[in-house]
Amino acid sequence: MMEAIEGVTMQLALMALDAYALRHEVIASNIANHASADYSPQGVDFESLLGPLRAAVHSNQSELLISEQMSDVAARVAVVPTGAAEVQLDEEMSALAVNTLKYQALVSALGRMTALDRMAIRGDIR
Amino acid sequence: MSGYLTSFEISASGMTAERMRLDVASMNLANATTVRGSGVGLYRPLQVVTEPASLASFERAMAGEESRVGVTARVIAVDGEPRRVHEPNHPLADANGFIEQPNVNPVVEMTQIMLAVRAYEANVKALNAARTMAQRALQIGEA
Repeated sequence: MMEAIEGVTMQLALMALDAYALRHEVIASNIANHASADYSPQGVDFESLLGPLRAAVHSNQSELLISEQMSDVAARVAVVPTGAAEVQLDEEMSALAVNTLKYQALVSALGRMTALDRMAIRGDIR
Repeated sequence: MSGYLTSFEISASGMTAERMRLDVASMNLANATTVRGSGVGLYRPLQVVTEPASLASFERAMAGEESRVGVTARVIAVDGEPRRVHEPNHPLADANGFIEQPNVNPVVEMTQIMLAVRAYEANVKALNAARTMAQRALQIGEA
């Protein structure tokens, strides 16, 4: 219920932040283990889970329903093998850069979102 | 749930492993021409073997159920046919004038050093990225 009050956008942003943080750990682990035998590179399945959620938003579902669906997505974020046989350092480095950038973009967006709340709380418009 | 410090631990373990690789390569190079001394056996070339700290349960480690994450590195000694060099004037030469040197390939060791340095850099990059993310997270809510 709290999620519905906080707003689904905030919920989605926080979920994405968690997913990116997890992905960072996975990439760091891939880099650390790049020379380990029997290690297959791992990845985080997140963006691919968002399809149904997008559909729900587009079909104007209720906020509560979308929120529930979001919790479902959050539960399904998982570490999965990428399928590659061995770790490619350059691929991991670019994935790392992309992931960090996404995280930063999201934090900036969150800052903008909370700026609106702050403005409402302070009651001043400068 | 794994804390934000996990990323640092993983990258630190990777850096430790690469440092060990560098140490071992230096050790091998330093001992490339040592011979079998009196009482001391012939130097056996060392090798670093890395393995995931928790391969079978990576996800459980991510969920914080297992404390060890990242990579573990250990050093093993490799048995190889020693290199026989003809040096009749050497004080430790055998009856036929041969001395035995460890089976260290300087070219391989130099490549190992280069690989270790590059991989170390990659781990540092990952560590810095984790720091950037943590710092940015602190800015949530700021304008």
